[in-house]
Amino acid sequence: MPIHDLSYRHWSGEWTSHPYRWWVITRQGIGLLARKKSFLFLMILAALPFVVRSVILYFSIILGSSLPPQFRPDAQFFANFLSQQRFFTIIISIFAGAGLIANDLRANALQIYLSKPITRRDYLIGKLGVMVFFLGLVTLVPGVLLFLLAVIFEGNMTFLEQNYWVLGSVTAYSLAIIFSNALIILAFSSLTRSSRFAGINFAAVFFFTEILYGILSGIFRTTRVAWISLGTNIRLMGDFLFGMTPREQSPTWLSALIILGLIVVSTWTIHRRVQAVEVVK
Amino acid sequence: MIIDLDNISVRFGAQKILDGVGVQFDGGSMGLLGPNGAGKTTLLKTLLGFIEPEAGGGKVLGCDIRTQQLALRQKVGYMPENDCHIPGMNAVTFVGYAAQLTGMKPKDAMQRAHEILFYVGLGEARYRNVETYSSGMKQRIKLAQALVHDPELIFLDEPTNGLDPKGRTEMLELVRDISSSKGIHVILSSHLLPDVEHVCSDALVIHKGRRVAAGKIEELKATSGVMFECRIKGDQDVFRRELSALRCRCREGDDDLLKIQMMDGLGSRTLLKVARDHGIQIRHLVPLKQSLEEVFMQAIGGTDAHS
Repeated sequence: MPIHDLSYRHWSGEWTSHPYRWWVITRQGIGLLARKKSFLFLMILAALPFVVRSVILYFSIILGSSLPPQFRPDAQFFANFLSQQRFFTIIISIFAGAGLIANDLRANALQIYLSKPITRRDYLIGKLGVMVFFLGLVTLVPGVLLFLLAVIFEGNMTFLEQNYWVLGSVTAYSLAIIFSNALIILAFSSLTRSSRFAGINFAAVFFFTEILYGILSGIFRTTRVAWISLGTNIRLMGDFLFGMTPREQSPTWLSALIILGLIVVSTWTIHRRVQAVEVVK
Repeated sequence: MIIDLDNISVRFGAQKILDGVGVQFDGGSMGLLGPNGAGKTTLLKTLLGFIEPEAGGGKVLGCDIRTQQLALRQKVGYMPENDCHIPGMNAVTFVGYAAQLTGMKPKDAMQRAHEILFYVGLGEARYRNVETYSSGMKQRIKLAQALVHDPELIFLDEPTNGLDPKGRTEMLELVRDISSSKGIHVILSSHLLPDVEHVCSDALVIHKGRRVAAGKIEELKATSGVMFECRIKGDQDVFRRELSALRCRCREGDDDLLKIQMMDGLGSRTLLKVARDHGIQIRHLVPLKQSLEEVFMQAIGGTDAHS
């Protein structure tokens, strides 16, 4: 008989409080993706526009008005940067988000998650956290950093006094991009066991609606049908938030409503699909 | 009382899966028995709070299954029936992650994961990706993630599914050790009666969503009437017919042996009287102890006869 049984010991340590359980899922998701070299390469690639714009920003402030207007640090400069980043947000959404729920469905992992003391909401927030983190890294974080760099390079408070509202626009536009992308890809991910299929569907929604808009605007010779395109709706919101003249005739409120609607429908879809028990009626 | 469920009914669409099932479990190890589709897994999922019952309610470890699901899941572990893992992880990361989901701090969770993996026999394979595991190893890792937070009660859904005889014996020994030496209450759902008989002290038999027998296994075996093994010389059909008229059950065994399940209150004297009255010689008469299988078949047969 052993003097002391080391095979199984009862646990008497401290437990973390429940409100932060979602963070366990987020942290794990970030860690798993960060270990993929291809994903890291993509993130580095997505950071290059920030580096280029930082350099432009530096020279535009040093050289003053001798640079063309598109290089001056104004609302247009930040709007253009975030619009440019939208391409990377689509690619990152597919890479990071397509498998977040689909892989769990494929591996029957939901019953493991939900047999632990976490709720479906914790699970959803945890997965959303992964997307918010990576999409934030290529939109909100560099956007805010660019703004701060502009303030620092300027060397006085003039830029901040004249453009303080741009910081709010950067934040609001980034959040619109982040949450629309994140929730739509998670909804597609929750509808299938194949991450590839989820990614293709997500990309199709962006590109198919863009093509459809192109065809319809060509037929009717108007940009009033721009609300059909998901990407254009997001861009129209950017134009509005940065106080720029909309490039399309479609009303901005309609674009905002469509994006809000998609966010609501996506959230509802995920909530419906994330169940510990799959009931086949 | 570890589990106290009263009149639980569960319906999926038009189909009633559980129909007024009541469970009282004082602790130890209980086998949840029933043929495939009897409602065992549904009952487990109801106990975990995955499924809201249409009617009835109850408590598991003092937590209401309808309103205190998070507190309940903190105290219980669940080993699902089908293959499941979290993709892209090795065993130690997976079990550590499961521990963190229950609220352990990362450092503690990792330490605990190593301990549990050694306990379930995966110590040497703990850095391998779970997706590369064999069926037996996958069963063990499912047990590990269910045990990692030191639950008071563990639900095991068909833990020996897909295991070879050696793996099955090892898994059953592990479960028996958990129940008898580690002070963790066990609910073992299985359609394999020897598994339940090997591990459990209690049994709950479910058939077509209804509870058909429950209690200590030894008592179930004892209270099902006396059983005899008998060989006769004479007209077997007449003998069987007369016994059936007395509501005794006769089954033919090997070597012309009859297995006779007597009604309560009847014994060997009845057999002898029937034989004497019809000129039949009894050549062999031995009292039998019922196996769990016979209790099970009798319980299920009884329900089928009523329905």
